[in-house]
Amino acid sequence: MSQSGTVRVVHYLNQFFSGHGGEEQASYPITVKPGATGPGTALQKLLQNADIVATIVCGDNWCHEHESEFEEAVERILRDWSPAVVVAGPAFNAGRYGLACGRVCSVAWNKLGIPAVTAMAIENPGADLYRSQVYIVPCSETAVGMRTALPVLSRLAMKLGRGETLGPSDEEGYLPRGTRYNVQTGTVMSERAVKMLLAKLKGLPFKTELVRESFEVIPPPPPLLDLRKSTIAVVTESGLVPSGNPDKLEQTRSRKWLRYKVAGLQELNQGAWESVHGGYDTSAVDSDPNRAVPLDALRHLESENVISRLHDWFYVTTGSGGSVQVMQQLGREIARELLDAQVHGVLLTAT
Amino acid sequence: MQLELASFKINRVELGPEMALHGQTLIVNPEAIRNTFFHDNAVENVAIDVAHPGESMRIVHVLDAIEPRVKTVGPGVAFPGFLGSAKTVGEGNTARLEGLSIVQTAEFPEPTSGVLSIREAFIDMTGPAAPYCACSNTANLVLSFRPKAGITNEKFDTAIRYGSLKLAEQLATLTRGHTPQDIERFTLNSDIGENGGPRIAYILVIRQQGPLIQNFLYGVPTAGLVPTLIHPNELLDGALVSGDFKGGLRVCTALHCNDPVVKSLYASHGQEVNFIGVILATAYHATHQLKERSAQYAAKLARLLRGDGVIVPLIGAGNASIDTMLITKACEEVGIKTVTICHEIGGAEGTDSPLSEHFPEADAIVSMGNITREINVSPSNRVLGGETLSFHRSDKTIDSSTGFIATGHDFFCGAWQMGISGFTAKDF
Repeated sequence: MSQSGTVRVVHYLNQFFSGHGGEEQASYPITVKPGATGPGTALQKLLQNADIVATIVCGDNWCHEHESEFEEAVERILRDWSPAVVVAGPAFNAGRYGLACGRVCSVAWNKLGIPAVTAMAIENPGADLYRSQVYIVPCSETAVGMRTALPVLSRLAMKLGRGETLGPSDEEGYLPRGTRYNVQTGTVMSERAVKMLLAKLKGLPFKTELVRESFEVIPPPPPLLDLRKSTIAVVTESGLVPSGNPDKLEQTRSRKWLRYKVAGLQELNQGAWESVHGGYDTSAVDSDPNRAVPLDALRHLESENVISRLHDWFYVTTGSGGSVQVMQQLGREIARELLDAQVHGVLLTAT
Repeated sequence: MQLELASFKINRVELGPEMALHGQTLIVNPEAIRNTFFHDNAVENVAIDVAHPGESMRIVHVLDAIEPRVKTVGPGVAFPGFLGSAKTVGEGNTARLEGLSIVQTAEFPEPTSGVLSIREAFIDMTGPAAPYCACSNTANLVLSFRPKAGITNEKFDTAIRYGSLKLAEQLATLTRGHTPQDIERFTLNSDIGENGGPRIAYILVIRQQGPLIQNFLYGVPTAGLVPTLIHPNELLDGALVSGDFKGGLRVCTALHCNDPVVKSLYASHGQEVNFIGVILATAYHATHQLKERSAQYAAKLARLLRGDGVIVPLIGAGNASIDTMLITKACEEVGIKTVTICHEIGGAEGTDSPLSEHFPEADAIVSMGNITREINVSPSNRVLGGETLSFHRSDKTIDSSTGFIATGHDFFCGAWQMGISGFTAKDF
């Protein structure tokens, strides 16, 4: 497709929006028909120098019950129709539909290098799953928001179809993809701060340069039924290592975890251990390492059968300047090892 | 309180037989400079060099950078508490050398460890790293100190600080009889202020961890400082001196004297804004109770000043983020609107959490950009300050003149310099 030529668009719809029926038609197998249909007709009216050359239709159950067939079919269809951009949905808050839209866009981009854009409510499970891979325009939960979603979809589709790079998510109107790049504003941070504060004080709209992310809420597992029958392990981010730090645990921004044997020890002796953590005053821990890993207290609890036994090893990393993603991975790895060793509960010491 | 600040622009510094100002060129005599540092018996040697923007030069083991200034009409002296009594400054007349920095480099005689480890920072005068380094755009008089054998870190630190501040004042005195390029008058005159807009205070949160990672207010370390009120002009006269030698998150004395938030608030003062003062608070309090107490005090001062809004910058890492967020929260809770200025730590790929702490009350953030993005630093023709360097994140020692990968943690005052250079980060 040349810059001056018409942009070829392929649209994806589910069984309902393409007019084949409701939930009873959710097993409608994947098909493709030329031209636009359903909301594609309205979308076509908004597109300029762009044609919806084909519409892929699939039932919301069929695509999930035939995952690999679905992806192969999408890939084949897109190769046949050679679009410059793929548009899927809007899926609003329909979960299976949103996941399918995400998957279609993902196949287009990852397998064929064809840019793709879809729209769905931010609560749609497809949004979190696919937002880092494909462009997702946030929209209302129901089709009431069709008239608001389509213009944004069409604008982004035309840009992507022309081979243009999209601007930042907050300017173009798609969900944050989770990667932040440094850009030059041409204005000192303090000038922007004064302007932002004045807008905030006047009750005028302002745009924060950093939106607070919401963290995954991890539901706590059920409590241990009987501590007296439980094996407990200590996991710590205090940076406690044998003196001399033989395994070179990082002082900050650690990317690894280590484990040290406490089997046979009744307590941690001053001088045999040190903390390499760069983010807190370690003198109290250096003078009594049991403050970071309370081995003395746990041996006492063991001898009184408050707990069944203490695991042979404790696990350590440095929590200073820790990358959230790295720590999540370290946590998964330590948990895997503890599960394999049939440890029932963990005492987490933090600084 | 009105301060008249006369700026004498310098675009070149040269070593020569005299100490003099010729137009915009400063001539300095190395022997005379050296003598400033020997009376304390802590300094074995000081090498004196110059470095100018655009030259293929790298300055390593950087400690502090100071912009020369002298009070030509008092009360008080520049860098009060060090160069004279702690008489309140910020009035009268001050002359400064604009575009010149005295840059200190040294390695401390005693090792530092744990939370009090100092960390390497360097300045590239040209190349991809230059925009991220403070003092890459000034004519630099570089002093490379070597300590006397057996001296303590504290004695060495004290000696080079005092000598450098003394030299700074001495150089600024060379402007006598010359004509400044610029004269500015700074006042928070309430007559002007009441015609202006909302009452805005600057809550400057400085790093205070301990020796070699601290600041000085009127010559005294800010350890144990309960948030306090100062006039922005006191910063212009050098009442706040940096003794922070920890990596790229430090803010040097030259930047305290040229604080960007002070500049921006003064620029709007009497028009859109009523700049009511500076609240100085410290970060890195060791317990949650001390953090909470400090945050409450800062908010209380803003409230006593009848502040409508505050600007709060982050200086430092995770620990400081908590203090900064607690201040933001405490202010919002008493109805004082906040804007927080933060650098981001989203990793080399920009995909990780951008802040280590982000309270819901911090709904207006100005970002200085992601300091953990990696920059390919080019090799340098000449290095001042040391032939090898190592960054705290690894054991490796490298040749100072090579190319290497560095981040905002490594550039001198890297985080704030990114903010001053106009960087932000955006999601794409």
